[in-house]
Amino acid sequence: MILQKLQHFQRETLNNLWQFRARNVFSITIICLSFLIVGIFVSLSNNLRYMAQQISKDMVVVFFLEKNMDASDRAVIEQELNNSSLVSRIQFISSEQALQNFLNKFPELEGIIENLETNPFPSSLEVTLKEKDFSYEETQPFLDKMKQISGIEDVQFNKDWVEKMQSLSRLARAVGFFLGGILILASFFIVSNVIKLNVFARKDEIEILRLVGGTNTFIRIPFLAEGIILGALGGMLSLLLLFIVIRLFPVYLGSSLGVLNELISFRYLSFSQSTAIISSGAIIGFFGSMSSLAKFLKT
Amino acid sequence: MGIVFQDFRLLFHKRVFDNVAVVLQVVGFPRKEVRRRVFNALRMVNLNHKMWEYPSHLSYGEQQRVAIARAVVNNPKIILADEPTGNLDTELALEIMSLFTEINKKGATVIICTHDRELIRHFGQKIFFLYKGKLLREETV
Repeated sequence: MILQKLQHFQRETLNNLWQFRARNVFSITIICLSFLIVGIFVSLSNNLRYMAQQISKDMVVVFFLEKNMDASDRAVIEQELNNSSLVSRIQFISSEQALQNFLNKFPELEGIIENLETNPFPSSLEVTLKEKDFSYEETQPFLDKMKQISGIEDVQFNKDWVEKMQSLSRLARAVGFFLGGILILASFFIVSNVIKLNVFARKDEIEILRLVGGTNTFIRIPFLAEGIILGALGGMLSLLLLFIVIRLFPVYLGSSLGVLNELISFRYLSFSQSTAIISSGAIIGFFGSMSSLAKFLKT
Repeated sequence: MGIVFQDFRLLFHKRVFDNVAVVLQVVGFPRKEVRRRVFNALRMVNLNHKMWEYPSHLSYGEQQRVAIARAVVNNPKIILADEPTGNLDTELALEIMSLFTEINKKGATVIICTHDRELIRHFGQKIFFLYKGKLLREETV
């Protein structure tokens, strides 16, 4: 008997989806547009975060060492750096190498360097920080501590960049929480109301089913299944549209925006974000149907 | 118990077959059994040739016959009909009442609520006169 009922629910759901196809297409379109707006926003936010990561990846701290430091003293400093969880990579640049690098970068200044009797460039350790642990609050105490170690003459670290990157990440996060929250809330109401309208339009059917002896569960299940399917389809369609937007938008903009083009370019959603959009659609569809059915199925 | 309404209460987006079958599907009858019973019920009301039509393509009399088929498909002992001829002209009303008589002869008790005294005197066996929810008198025809 349970199998018969399950078969009935499956048939009923598919029949109803087809039977009310015009209304369902409308519902899916509204759900899709709501999620598309959320998707575009998430995509831009992804891009901002990606850019912040790329810039912080290249963040290097240079520790200038005292002149004529022997290898054992340098090993002590390197050991100290290796002990820190913030450090990703250490590269030793000897004073000769530093001179060579300078000449490679500024060949026109070769004459000036030749006039100098001694090599003015100190040897240094170039330290790349781990991008995940990258935060000003954490790096500053580490740098202060390293400055105390004998053998380190000076530390060069682009503090401005760090602060800018920090505020950019903070902005991305704040905008994400604020606008994302509002958009998700708005789409929740839109989607659940569209589903509700769909159920309201069929209130006669619910009443008739009750009159011929249908239990609440019997009436409810096909409606809930329809809500879930409509929500999930709307979510999927929005991902498809987002894909098209991501493909077409750069073509439309061309290269006219230059650097800004990179800043506002779209990045497709991750697998978990895409899954979240589809499942949100299904969940909203479920609760939208559930709450509107509650009005008609009061016992 | 089967119920017949004055305004038929049919599902207009479903075919005649599905309108009748819904009563059996509610209780989870196997598909074969549903088909057999629905076919028998529709044959009884003489609508088996319109099984795959939508109710909107049927006349009022036919729609009411679908509603009657839906009421009897589960072989109920009692059928309650609320003004079953209220929306029909005299000719169709007589047709529907004859159908109820036939159902009654097959063993089901048919309770009909109506304002049409002539019609009920012609077809009824036992008549209860009600006024504001209270029983005034009863007659056996």
